[in-house]
Amino acid sequence: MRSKFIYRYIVLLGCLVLSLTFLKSQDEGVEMMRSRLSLTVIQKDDNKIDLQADFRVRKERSYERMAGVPVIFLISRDSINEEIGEALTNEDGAAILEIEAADWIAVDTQTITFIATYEGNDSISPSDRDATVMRANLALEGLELDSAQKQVQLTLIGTEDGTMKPVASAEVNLYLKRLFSNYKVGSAETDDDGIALVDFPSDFSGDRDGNLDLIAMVEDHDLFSTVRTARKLEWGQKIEEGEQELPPGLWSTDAPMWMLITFIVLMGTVWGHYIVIVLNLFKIKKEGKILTS
Amino acid sequence: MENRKQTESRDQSARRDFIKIGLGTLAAASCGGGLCSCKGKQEKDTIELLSPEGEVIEVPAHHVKHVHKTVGVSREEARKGIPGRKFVMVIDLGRCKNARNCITACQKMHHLPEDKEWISVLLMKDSEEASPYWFPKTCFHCDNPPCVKVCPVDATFKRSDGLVLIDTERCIGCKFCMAACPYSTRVFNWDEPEQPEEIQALDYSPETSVPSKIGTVEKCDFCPDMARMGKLPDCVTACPNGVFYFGDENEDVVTNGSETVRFSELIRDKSGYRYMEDLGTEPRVYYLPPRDRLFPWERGLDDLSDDIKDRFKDVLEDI
Amino acid sequence: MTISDKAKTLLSEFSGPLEKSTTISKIWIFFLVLLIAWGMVGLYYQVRYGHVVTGMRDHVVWGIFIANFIFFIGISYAGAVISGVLHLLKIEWRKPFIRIAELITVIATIIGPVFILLCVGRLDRLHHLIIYPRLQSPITWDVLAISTYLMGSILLLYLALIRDFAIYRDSPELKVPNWQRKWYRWLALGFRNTPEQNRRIEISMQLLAIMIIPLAIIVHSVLSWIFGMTLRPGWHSTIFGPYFVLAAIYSGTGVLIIAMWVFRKIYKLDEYIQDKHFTYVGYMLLVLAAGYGYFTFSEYLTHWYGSEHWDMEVLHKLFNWEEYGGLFLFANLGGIVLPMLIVAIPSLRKPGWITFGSAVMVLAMWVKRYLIIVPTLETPLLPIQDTRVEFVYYSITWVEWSLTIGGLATFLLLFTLASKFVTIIPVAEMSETKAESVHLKMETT
Repeated sequence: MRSKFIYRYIVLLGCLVLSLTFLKSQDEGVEMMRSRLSLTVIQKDDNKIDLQADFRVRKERSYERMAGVPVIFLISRDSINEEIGEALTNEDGAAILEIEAADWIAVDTQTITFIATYEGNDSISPSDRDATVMRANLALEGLELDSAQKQVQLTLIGTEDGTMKPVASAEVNLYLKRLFSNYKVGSAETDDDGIALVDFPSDFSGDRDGNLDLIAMVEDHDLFSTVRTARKLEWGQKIEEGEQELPPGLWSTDAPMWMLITFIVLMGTVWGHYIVIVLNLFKIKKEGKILTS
Repeated sequence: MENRKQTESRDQSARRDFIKIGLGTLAAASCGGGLCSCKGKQEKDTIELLSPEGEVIEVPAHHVKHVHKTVGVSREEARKGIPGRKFVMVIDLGRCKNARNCITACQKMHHLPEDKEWISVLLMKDSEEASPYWFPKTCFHCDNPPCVKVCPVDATFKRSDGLVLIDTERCIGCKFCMAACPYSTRVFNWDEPEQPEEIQALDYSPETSVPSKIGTVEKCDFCPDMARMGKLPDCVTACPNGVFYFGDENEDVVTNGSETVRFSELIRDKSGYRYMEDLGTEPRVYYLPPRDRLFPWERGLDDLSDDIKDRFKDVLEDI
Repeated sequence: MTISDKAKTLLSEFSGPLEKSTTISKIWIFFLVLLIAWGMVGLYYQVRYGHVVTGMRDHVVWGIFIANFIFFIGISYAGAVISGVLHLLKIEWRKPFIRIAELITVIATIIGPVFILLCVGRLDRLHHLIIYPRLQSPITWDVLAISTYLMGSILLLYLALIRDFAIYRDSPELKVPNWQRKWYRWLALGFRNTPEQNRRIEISMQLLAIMIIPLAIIVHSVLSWIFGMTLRPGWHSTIFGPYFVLAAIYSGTGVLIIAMWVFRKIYKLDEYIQDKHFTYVGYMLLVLAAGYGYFTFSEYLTHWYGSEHWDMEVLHKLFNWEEYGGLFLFANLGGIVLPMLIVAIPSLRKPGWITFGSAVMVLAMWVKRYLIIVPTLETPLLPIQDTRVEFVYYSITWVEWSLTIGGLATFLLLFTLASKFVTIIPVAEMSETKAESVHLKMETT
């Protein structure tokens, strides 16, 4: 819940920063700003499709991202456009809508056309973009040839004459999910069986259980747009929590034992003597009282 | 308020929320960064904002609230570090042209005034014959941090994920850490920090380093609040030339936003080194030597304001 | 308690300042209070507006406050060494000025830490030192060492005073207000000069005299380590501990000589603080100057000969006329050469000259502390660039001057007030002295 909340704030903030940047240029002239959309259809292995529209606004000499812009997604069937849904662009300028493939696409469909549109407003021109794709699916499997050598087998199948058949000569990229971004492990072209093999290095560390998140993608394919699959494999080196603790040093919170002992001994000796002296003072006082009384 | 009605579509209530927060939200940077276009400087009581639909809304200035980008964890939590992580930065000196976007992005992120930097870019010249180069300097988050050693109250601390952070609610402002840091990374709040009231009213977290507090020390924190969301620090993403790579050393991968590379390979292939290795501070920031430069170093002086240019006056005389 | 004739004579002679204040002393106190008030104005500004009112900035994070701190802790050595060493060695000639030395110790040890507090950005969080202590920090060492040292110095001063308080209490001739006598009675602890009581005081003083010497050494070593433990050129030096200790004893002796001269002048103590005492302390000064000069030479020679890049950067600043050349020359000529010459040349070995030499030396030692702090902070390992122009160099602001002068005035005021409450010559101890001067004095009266 909290991360969602934070996320919303980021979107808003990004939106406003960008908006304000835009406003500034608005002051200088009231001409319309040109917008541009691009559309990527990401076919995932769980029968879901991400429609990703990247929105850019032309500002001075470059196109800039804009957050918080509503993009409407449509599907075109038999020349009839039907609205699927709407999404707002995030701070990277991307509006993403996830759909259930089965809800919109019949199994035997040859090609599907998606449309992303932005309606425009007083200051930004409208824009739209369509993408026609065929259904495809990518499967990822880990092969352990021996303890040292590991390979990832990627199988791409796509619609051909109404059925799913292996797709040859498609470039597949293999990524490893890391904290901030995906690391490209390698890429390979599919053979006639739709299979591509990518060598996987064995020296990557995974999480506590040694799990690695692998993502394979066919990107910007002429027929399929983007086909994506992800899988967790136990191929990484285990990160042990214990090892994370830095060795204690002078900079750690608690003092080294030798230092503590030295201090206690030193301070104890000196203050112990002070106490003896103060006690002596009290004795002097007591003796004085006895004398006078 | 017209546009409110327009927005009443399918997703009504959610959208309303959006606008409401939208009105109540303003990038704090806008007050310092000049991004805010107060409609005609004379009417300061209203501010123009862009609605999510891209339409201009005019809002009374007092409705505008500054909100920090992230929410920080508690002060106790912030001492522990993000489990399993070991943050590392690589700075490619061959790419820096003193564009200073890292500095302004950092200032925006931490709501710092314009003349207070947590990142600085130095013009270095290693020897008589050597060619000058620009040297961006963040906190090095040393593994043997001289600053943490000397703190009398455990206000600055080293975390398991490699970060050196400061709890400015505990800091007594003795400045010993500043004297101990060999890299002059730390800055002090000599007077009351210039920050909007809304920012000052936020709950402090050592991970966000916001708000600043008078009489305490602060510095570059590697934005662990962003890392918790899987996002890069703003200096990294703001750099137009991809100078900064940031990542987790345990994962052995660093990224500058567009390229993602293996940390060990990058350091090996491009002869990465740590600045002043001989001090034994073991920094978590690596530098790639300034070879295969994208720009001649003089380009770094091109778009500087006179104020900033003045800062390099002495070193330019020597070059 | 019966008071010996000797003590009676001594008391009648030195009770003047205790009984009444002269106009000059009133003006003097008023003047000091004015200076302190000025310091308070500076303090108000610093608390109200933050440390921005000082000359300290991100590079030079510490300025004259720290120099003052080292200086005051340094002069506190006067008492520690004189009363410690000379007490242990049972040197008779120490007696006339032992109290002056001990007063300097206690007062300087109270004033010194005030200056380190002035460097602290958040005084409202000082309790963090106790609730979140970190033993690895030299600042923690300092807090512990100085408080221990202060406690020891106070005890030492007080032990020596008990017998005097008893004499004041039991001398009806002493014309002091009632409240003052009440204080004397309370502070004298019912001391009746019994052998048992005397034995207790003797033992306690012996214990303290032994402890105060290592304590004093620790205090100043720890202080030097605040600098020595950092990785900065000009600070990161292994001899900093002994160097600081010796410099402290040296400047402490200088301040003691000045105080001896001033009190001799004001209270006409020529009979007790004699020229020979100046000569004795002058010899000490000579030895210390030589030792201090040796350390200084060794420190800079090593850095210069090795000529490491950063060390040279600092040295260039110290040897450059446009930067610190003048001050550096003064610190060495005034702080080492001049006092040595004065004591070495028989015709100059006179109280006046020795005091003059000490005064110049004490000032030079303050400058030296400044030269340890500021040039190093102005020479970080990474060049100072890309920072606000006003952050590059340090210059002392009026707030810092007024607080410095206010601190000095407080030191002098406390000293003046102390001299109005206790005799500046230890009456009890002096009355046990076999020194001829006392006999002489008695014969003449």
